Amino acid sequence: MIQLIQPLGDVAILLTFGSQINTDTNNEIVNYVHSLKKVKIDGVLEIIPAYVTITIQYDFFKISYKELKEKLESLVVAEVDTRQTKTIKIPVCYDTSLSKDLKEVMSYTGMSKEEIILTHTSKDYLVYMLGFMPGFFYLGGMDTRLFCPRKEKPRLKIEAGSVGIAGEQTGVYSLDSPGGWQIIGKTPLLVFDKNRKENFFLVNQGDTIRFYEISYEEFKQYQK
Amino acid sequence: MIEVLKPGFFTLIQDAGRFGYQEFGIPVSGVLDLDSFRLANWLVGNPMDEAVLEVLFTGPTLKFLIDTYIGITGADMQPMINGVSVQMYTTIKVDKGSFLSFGKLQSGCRSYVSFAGSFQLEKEMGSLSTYTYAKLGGLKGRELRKGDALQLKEVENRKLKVVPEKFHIIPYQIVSVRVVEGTEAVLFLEKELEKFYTHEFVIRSESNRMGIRLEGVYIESPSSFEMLSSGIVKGTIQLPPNGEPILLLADAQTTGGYPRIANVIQADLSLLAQQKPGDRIRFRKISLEEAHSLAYNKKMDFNKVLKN
Repeated sequence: MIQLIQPLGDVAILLTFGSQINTDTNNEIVNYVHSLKKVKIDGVLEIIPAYVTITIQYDFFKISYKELKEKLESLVVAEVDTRQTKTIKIPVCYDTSLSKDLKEVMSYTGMSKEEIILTHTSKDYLVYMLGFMPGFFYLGGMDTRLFCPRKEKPRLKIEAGSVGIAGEQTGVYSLDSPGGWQIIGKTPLLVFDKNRKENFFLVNQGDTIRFYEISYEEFKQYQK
Repeated sequence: MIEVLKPGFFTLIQDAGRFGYQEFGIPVSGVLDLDSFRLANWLVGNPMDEAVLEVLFTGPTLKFLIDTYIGITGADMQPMINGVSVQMYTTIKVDKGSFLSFGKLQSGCRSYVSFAGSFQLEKEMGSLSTYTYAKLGGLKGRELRKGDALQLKEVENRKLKVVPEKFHIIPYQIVSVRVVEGTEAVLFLEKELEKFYTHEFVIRSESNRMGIRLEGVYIESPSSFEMLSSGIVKGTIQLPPNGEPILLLADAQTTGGYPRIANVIQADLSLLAQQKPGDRIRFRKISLEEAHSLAYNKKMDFNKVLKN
């Protein structure tokens, strides 16, 4: 159920469905977005689903905030059929040369490097949403022992493929980008590739991700 | 064809933006100063969303191998044809063999150069806008370089036009930027919000098309609050824990994880796009209704010019 509706700037409306990452809220958001796209409200420009929110950008010359709010509140939401359950295995090299923040994460979590790797690779992660940068996927279900705050000051550049953790989230940078996550490793795979015509994105919403460790030598092999 | 003899500091091909992919994490991109962009296209008789050159700080030197028309709006960088000053905000007829060059930056920081007709380039994901981080759009997804060729067809005669002076950008000492309340503003302490609205901020040099980084006064984030990543829009102002606001622009991430303290109104984004590192800005809060009526009035104002 929508818990809060509020304006986001003068061009968007923010719907909040909950305050915690969980599969129920995610299902609700997937269903809501699906129904909203079907209805095609005139003036709705873009829909950006996230963990517990949906941001809806609109053209206020076509529909007022009040009108849109009413339509969103009264939207009839249908259940979406079974989700795709593709499992994607992603190789990660946790070598010290590629894991800039491993020391910081070790001191936050009190775990050794080996324990961090084992914990990070021993879980299946559900893809909750794409966003933040092209093809970037947000995962839920990280082991609570790995929880870590974001960096105090975001880095100006993190390389594509870098695997990070922040708060209760983990993910892979899809492009060179500024960012505030703690970097613990790197994958040689391309998360976003505009030349991969059939499939710009490695991962889709609803997929399951499993990370596995590769050595620095294996990592180098991939890049050839 | 137009040959790039000097690229300028950072010159990009941009149109109105790349729409429909934000849910996959692809930002809208497109010109930062939409007002100057539209006026530039109007000057040469183009559709309002045709791709132009967005020129930052210093202009390129271009050699024209066709007869054409151009328009230059936005920041004043002392444009010249064959070394002779030309008027901005007017339609300029350019003869084959001519050179366009620029002098020193006088005001603002982004100039827009339009050309009659359209660039002979393939759109990527529906747009010619250059998104350099993902090497998307424009000329190979990057800024112009020496030796590049911009393919354009010759066009028929175009009407010579002049943009009324009230639409030219003007330099300010301190820019007052209007915002509406951010979605997480209520979580901030009252005194932190007061600091945000009473202090001046200086634009930091690390600013780019993703965002304007600000410094000036430390603003404390809401305590014990770890936000979940959520969608943003152009103009969203986030507050990371270092206390320095980041104002998100056209190439910004589609979702962000820092509290959103305020949001610049769309009507003021063009003005903001002309502020450069070292410039000072202040924020003033208005209501959503005011923001919409300002946008409406602005649109009406522009339409009066653009219909001609």
